[in-house]
Amino acid sequence: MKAERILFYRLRHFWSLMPLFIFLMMAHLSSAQTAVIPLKVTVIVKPPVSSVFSEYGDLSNKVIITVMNPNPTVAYNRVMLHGSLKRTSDEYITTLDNYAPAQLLTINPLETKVFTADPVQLRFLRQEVVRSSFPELLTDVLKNNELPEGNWELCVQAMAVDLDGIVYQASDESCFPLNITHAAPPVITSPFNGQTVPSLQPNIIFSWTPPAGNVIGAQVVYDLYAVKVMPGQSPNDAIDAAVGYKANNPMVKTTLFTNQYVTQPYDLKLDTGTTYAVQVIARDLNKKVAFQNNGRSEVTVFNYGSPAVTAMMLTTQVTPPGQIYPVLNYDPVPVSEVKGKLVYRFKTASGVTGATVGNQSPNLNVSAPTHLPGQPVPDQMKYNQELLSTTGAKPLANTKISLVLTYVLDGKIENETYSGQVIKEGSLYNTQSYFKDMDKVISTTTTDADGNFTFNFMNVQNEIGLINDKLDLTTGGGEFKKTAIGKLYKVYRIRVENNYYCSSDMNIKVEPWKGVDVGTLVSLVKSYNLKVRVTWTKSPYWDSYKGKGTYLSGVPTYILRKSKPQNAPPDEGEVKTANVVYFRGPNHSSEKITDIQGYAIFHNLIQHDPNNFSDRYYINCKPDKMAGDVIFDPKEKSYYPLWDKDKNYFPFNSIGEYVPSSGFKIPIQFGSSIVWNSELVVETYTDSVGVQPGRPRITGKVEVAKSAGARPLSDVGVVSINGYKNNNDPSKLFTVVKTDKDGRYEFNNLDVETEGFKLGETSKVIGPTRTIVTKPEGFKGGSLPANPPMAPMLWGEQKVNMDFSLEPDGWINGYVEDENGNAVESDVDIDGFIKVTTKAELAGVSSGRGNIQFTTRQAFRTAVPSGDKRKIIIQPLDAGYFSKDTTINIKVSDGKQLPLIKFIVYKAQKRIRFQVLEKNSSGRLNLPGASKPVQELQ
Amino acid sequence: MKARVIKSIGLIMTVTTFFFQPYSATGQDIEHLKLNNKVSLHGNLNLQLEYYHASEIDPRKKEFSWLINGNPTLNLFGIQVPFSFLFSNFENKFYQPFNQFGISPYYRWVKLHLGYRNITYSPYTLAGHTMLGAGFDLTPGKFRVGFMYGRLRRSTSVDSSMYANPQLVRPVPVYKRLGYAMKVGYGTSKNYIDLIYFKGWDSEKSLSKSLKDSVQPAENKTVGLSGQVMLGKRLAWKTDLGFSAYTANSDDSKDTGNIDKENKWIKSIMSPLVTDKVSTRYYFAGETKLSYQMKKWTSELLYKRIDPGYQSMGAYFFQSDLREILFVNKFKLDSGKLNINTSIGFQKDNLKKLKTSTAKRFIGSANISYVPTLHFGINFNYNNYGITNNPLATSQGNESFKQVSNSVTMMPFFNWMNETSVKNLNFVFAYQSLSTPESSIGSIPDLNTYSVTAGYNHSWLKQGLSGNGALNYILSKTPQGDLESVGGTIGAGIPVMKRKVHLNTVLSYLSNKFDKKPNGNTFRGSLGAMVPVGTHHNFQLMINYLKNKAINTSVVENFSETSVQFIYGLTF
Repeated sequence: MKAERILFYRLRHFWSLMPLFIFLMMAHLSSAQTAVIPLKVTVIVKPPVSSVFSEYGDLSNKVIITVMNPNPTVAYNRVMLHGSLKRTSDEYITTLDNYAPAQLLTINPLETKVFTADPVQLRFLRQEVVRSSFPELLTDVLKNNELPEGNWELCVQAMAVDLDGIVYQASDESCFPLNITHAAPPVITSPFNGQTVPSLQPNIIFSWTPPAGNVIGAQVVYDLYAVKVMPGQSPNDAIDAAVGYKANNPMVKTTLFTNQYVTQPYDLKLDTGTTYAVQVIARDLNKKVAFQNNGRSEVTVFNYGSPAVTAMMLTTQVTPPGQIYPVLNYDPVPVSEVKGKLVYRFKTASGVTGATVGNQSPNLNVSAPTHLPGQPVPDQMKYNQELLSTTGAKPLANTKISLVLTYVLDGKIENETYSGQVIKEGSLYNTQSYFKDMDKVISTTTTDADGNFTFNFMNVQNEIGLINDKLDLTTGGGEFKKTAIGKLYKVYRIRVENNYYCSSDMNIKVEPWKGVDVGTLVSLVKSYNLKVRVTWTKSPYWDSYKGKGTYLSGVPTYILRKSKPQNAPPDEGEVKTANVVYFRGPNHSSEKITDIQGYAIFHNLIQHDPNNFSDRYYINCKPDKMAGDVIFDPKEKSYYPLWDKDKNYFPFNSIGEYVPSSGFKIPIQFGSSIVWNSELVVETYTDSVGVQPGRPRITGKVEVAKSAGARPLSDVGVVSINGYKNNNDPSKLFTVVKTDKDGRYEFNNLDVETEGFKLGETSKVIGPTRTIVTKPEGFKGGSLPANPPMAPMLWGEQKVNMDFSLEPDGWINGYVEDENGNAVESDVDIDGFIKVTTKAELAGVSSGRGNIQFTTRQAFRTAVPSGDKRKIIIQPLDAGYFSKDTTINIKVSDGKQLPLIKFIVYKAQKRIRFQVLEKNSSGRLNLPGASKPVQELQ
Repeated sequence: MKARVIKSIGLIMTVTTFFFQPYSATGQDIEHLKLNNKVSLHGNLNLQLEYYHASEIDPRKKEFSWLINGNPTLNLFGIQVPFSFLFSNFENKFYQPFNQFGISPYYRWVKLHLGYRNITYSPYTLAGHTMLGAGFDLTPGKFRVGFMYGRLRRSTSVDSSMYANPQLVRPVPVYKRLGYAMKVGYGTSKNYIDLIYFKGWDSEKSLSKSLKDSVQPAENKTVGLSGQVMLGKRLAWKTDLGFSAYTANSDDSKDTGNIDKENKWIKSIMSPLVTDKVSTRYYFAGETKLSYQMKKWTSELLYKRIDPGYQSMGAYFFQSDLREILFVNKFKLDSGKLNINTSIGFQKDNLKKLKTSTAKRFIGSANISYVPTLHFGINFNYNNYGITNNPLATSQGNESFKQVSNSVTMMPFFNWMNETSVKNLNFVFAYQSLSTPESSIGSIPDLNTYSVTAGYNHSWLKQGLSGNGALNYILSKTPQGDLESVGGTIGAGIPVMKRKVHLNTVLSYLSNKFDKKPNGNTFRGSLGAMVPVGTHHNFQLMINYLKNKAINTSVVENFSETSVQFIYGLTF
């Protein structure tokens, strides 16, 4: 709108001055009477077209402007040039209306002036003399000194100044199109984004495209940056820092005049196996051309060579387990990749851990094609398959594993059948000479937190798989020879380098330049079961309960560790239920109870490291003071061979050795050398714990008889009346204990009277006999056993259920009614001992004249402890009554003939208070004795 | 200097000590993670120290540099917390940060982002630009929700060193740039649709008033639509669209003059989201791709169009004003022994006829790998890149330009191997040419580079020994003159101390010529020792020496360089 107004103003001004203009022309010209024709202006912009705004401040040598006066007689005096840079008809930057150059021109009739290098006339678009249709546009252009990209026009118009100093348009506008674009930065073409450049190549060739767009007149040079990209780093960030301040020591080549650079021997060396980010930056030395993104190309990356033989894989595609995929490397070394996941579980017949029993199936494929005459013998081995179930298995994390070369036999060695088992060192004589590289470690790695692993290795085995279909090998000689026959296979296997675990029997076959995802491998824990038998000690001294050496049933037995080896499975032991664990490592234990044979069996215990003496379990037995009939001192026993000679009969997980302390000092080996899952047999070891009998013990409880509420009686004295044979010490005749808050009493460490001590013989128990009595106040007394006295208790004998159930010695009969004689059903609490509820019964009441009226009442009759001031609480069941507390004396009685005691309870009533006033009077009316039925007040 | 080095080493040791602490590890439930799992940490850490010294030239590296970088993942009661960090003595406060750290913990369908992160929602909205901030991704069921807020770049002033930097023709200060992005989508990894919104803006307060005069704050809003659908089992169709409203100066007033702008249809789409200012411009970018995958053949057809000037503050600079058609084929034949990958692409710019010339590019490449036996194989690579720049009829200038780049690499190799040794002989023939048959910006001579390498490696597997030798010939024909180098390399790897230490050395000597006249030689020697400790630790020490002798020092100077590098790698 603003622009339109200006234009309108100019046009209106122009036409309004026309008569004056004509008059002046006429005054100056003597003969011509023709109309004055405006000047004709044309403009041509010489290439290159610059996007730099200041370039238009002085158009000398950049434009060709012609101004022609077509009038044959009329001259134009005081003429000057104005101009505009227009993006659209709305958006432009134009010369200020009041601008005038230092010198004005005269264009004579029919004269044509050409302006190409006239700094006086061609500076009408310099910063100081322009305005814009939108002030923001000029601000933006001046800030950047760049015209925004787009289709612009350079327009020029001749202006003239009249005698009054008024500026008017002397010509139409002449415009020349300007395509203002910022040159596109280079595009890197070599190495292309993501390329792997072989490190064998002695040089790297960097190429890029020249910048596209308006670069004519520019002198473009390039800067090349290549910098390492650290793992996890953004290539753009790496380059930004490298360009900005040479971070991470980039390779920099500046001011390159061609769009290619070939690295030379003296350039900074690039590290193999590293990712590099590259950027090329175009610059115009003439500073005339603006580039998009400051001339900086897109950042590309390339990998330089492969890091090492052990990690040179370039293909990391996701493949289903068992599938073979190609593995490429740029160094011509035969490589392969084996990846998968390793899990572990226990092999246990009880199924406590691991849902299936880990019986190893043969590795041989029975359904393989049969051998046809003239054809190669078919390879019947199953490759790259795990034969064990993974149910219940957990990842074997952070564990070192090795890829090893093994020989597998389908046949026999001597009389031992091999159905896909590994030939081990020692199974034949001089095995290494017959089986090259047997058990050789090809590669080693460590599983991650999820058990995943990847082996990258040089695969130089020319033959993998069936290598001899008719093996008939005799090793050794003379008397010492062993023969192997059958089919011989050479395969890779993955060995767990941790003696607490076996290794999978999976046979792995992979050809050079191939990879295989073997899926999930199962490692069985080298475990065993321990059967512990608890017996009395065989010491002859004790006249023990049930006899010397007896198996003790019902004995709580548990196993614990005091320290746990670092590499051992974390979840040893077994789970009884979801929450109860029988045994799980140090300080986590729960007992098992010995069975009738005295046994407690523990599963999933871990075989022990022969070189770690602290890797051992401890068996603990403790008496159960609430159950069982034996008492003994708690016993802890280390489960570990006491003598070197016993080490061969102990579950060690690997081979150890010891040097005998006497005789020939030749190291003797012990332990197990099993490696593979199929070799694992979970054996059950047995150990016994002899416990020493303790002094007899009697325990039980004192409580109110069930019929009277079965309430425990606390702080009640219980007396053992002891009858000695030979001891007349009166202090020993009675032993007194008191019941605890639960009514329990205990006679611990009871005395044992024996015959005289005889070396090597059992000292027979002869006393004392015992009678246990108690007589709490308010109760009838009790004594145990039923037929006293109790026979002398033997060493280790425990009686745990010597319980008294005592009847109260008093009685109470009563009934409950309200003040109106209505029976009220109630709960009755007698001194906290007994709680009864009244029952309805008919009662006959004499009404005189021999008549008996029958009525119903709520009565109770119960035995209660005798005593003074027994507290009676009557609690009516109807909430409309208050409860009632009272005390009465209860005498010793069998009770049934005692009279009934009446207990009266009162209704829980409410009161209403009201006043009677005279109608229509404000005064109080004193009407004593006035009454009103309650119903009417409602 | 010494004090600074000691201080730096102290810092490094402090940081590394933290990571050397023992971490308890326990197995995880194979089926799924449980909260009763304990704490574990795994990942890697890399420490580099380098000393560098140069004589007779300006140093090409920092005298002493250190860098520590790690990408560990913490498993915290079943919650995976991967984090990354990079610290060094390369940080410079006048530029964008080099030292960075960030974590992205996740548990089931919840993932958090904290610190420096590079999140990508789509290629034309938030596309991996580094952000310092916080965000999350939620994927409950088939829903795909994401949010990220943070700083895209920090404000930087003009530093005097910028004027010395040849790249920075016109050093300008930079506003702090902030942004946030949201994504709402539905689907699976195979079939999905995502709607993305991104906003970025320069914080005006981040620069002092005097610096504001030289740079204007910008703002940007982009809307993206991304989706993929499987058409049957083998055919996939993927599309990414982006609509951008970019305001070069957020201080501009609202455009009340209704300026005639390009892409009015985008303006109308984005009008509810965007305040149309004088300097606001609207752009479109999109690509669509059809992929067909079979067992032995994979094919992709891509069409891409990006308006000139398209940009999103959530993406780093990428080429705009582009229309591209790309056709890629991959063949796996003869049981995988023969692999052929081909790619043909056509690119064209000047979509809006803003430029006075139009550039057309042809990009072709072929890679053939044939390994018929264990004993022989060959790799062949061919790349062709052609550009033709034709001026429009309306152009006043002559911007015609044609350039073709060809690159051929052939690498045959032979192997002899048995259980005791591996021997291989390999050759690398490489040829690259850059030909400019037509140029309006002056005659550009052709550039040609030839190189031949013959290498022999012998590894004695049992002993762990290796030896290698190579002969090299390089010829680069440049406008300044031919650069020629002939020489060789010998190297060996020796295990010592019961294979606990692996020594390796490489010596190379190249005799150089310039314009067919002798121009000195280049000697490079390196001696290294690698000490793996267990399976987790690896120590490496490398000493490198380079001596360059030149007769014509206008090509390259006489100089020598020494560097000592210590690297410690930890995997845990």
